[in-house]
Amino acid sequence: MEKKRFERPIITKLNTGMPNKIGLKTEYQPIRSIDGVAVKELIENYGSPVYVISENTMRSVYRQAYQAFSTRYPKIQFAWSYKTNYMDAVCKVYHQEGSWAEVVSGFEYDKAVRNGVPTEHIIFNGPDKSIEDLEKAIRNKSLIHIDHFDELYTIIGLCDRIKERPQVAIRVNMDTGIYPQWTRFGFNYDNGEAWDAINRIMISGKIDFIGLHAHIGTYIMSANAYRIAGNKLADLAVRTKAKYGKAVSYIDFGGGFASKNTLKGAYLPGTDTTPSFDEYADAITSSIINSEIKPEDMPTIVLETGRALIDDAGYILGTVLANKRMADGTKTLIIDVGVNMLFTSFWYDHKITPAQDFSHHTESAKIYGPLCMNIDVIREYADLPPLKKGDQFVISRIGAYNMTQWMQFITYRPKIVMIDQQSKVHVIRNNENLDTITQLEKVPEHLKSIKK
Amino acid sequence: MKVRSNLAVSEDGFVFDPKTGESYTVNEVGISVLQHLSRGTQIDALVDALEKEYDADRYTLEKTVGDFVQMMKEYNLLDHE
Ligand SMILES: Cc1ncc(COP(=O)(O)O)c(C=O)c1O
Repeated sequence: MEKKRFERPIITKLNTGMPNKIGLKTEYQPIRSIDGVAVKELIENYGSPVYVISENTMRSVYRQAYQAFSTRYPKIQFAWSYKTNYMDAVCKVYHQEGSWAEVVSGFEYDKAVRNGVPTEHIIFNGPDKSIEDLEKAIRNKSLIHIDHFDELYTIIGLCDRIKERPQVAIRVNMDTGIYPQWTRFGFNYDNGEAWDAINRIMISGKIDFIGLHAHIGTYIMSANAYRIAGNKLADLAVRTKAKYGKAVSYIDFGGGFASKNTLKGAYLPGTDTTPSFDEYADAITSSIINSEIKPEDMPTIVLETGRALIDDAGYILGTVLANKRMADGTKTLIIDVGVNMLFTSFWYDHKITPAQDFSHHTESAKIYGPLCMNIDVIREYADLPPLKKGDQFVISRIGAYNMTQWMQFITYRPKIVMIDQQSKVHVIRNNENLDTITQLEKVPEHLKSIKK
Repeated sequence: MKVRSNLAVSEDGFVFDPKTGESYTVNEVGISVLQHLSRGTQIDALVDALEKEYDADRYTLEKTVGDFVQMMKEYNLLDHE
């Protein structure tokens, strides 16, 4: 007789009248497969943990976002925010879909060039562009988004040496009614600094001023904040046209759309509270359409959306290492995914789903990673079916920032695989090993041998 | 070790404690453990029985049953001998 699947016995006190925080009754199903490939098989073939990216989800979310904007406005251009996930394979999917590249460092810039993005379709953001970076970007006619006056004067200085006209936009920061206000980057609109910067660029006579840019923050829950940003950017465009007769060719709204992840401490799940692409698109496009910008001057709307495009396409699969009951009775689960591989667990209550069948019973548990450190907490509190050593699980919506902000610590970073639209699995980044990690190290001669 | 005799345990895993008014849920294996314990089965024999029925090694069974019993104690659902 075949034996029954064993589920750890649990007893859970019912708190009548007290709604379950986040409403996470486990009415969800186990995730046994991703895009037709069994989780068990993925772990068997590629190890545990392993990052998984769904090409299908990437493309379909991108198309939803593009459609939300393109049905409302004729000139829409996405630019993939490299820092969100700069695996070459990931970037290339977006470039195939028509995205430009948005980069913030010489490294990301070179990566975009190597990925085949036409240099005039690379947006160069950020406060840290070296002289060499700027020279290269000017010669390549890339779109340089000026962050501060020092950078502006550096560019004006470079113009005398390089016989190319830099293609620039300015980054603008402003009060859009949300907190915190990101005033660290760019020129302030409200105190007139942005207008000052535009005037200095225009009277220099050496630079092509072609765009306006704002990135008002990240995980912005209010679509209306973008409407306010649009009004202010349109105002700058109108004044530039009135004074200099020059229309900007694009207005870039940066990134910042919330993904469906649940922020730590939020009472409701992100799936219930996140504005849709349609809501963001409505706010953004109407701020430009209803502005005083003349129809013949209508700029392209550029979007540098990061997390809202890729989060849903990324998963990390892992295995339960151990169960423990703490001295105070708290149930804890130790898994093989630590905060070094899931940086976003500092922001989000990531959804963790068992990869095998389970009953409807749940217990609350604290979930730790395997690092020997107190901060290594993946979830402070999760209602999960009873998992035991060796059980596998899927952490969802982790496509953004984890594969760029990860840290190598005490062990090797795992493989990243992409499942294509025919359910074929491709390794897009191999796991590290002793050689890959130590290849940049050098040992001084007198330390080569450890014999005295 | 015995389950308190006045506990009401339903077949689908609801447990009511008339002394405190608290209720609990237990999963399938939990029900089985409760039933064994209320019949006075010793832990060793209980683990034997589970081993026959379920796909799990002895170590896992002992550890998880031990944990379950610990929670029962914590909730004051066991008789003090
Ligand atoms: C300039 C710029 N653009 C785009 C993004 C992508 O943001 P998000 O992932 O919030 O869409 C960022 C992220 O910080 C950014 O700094």
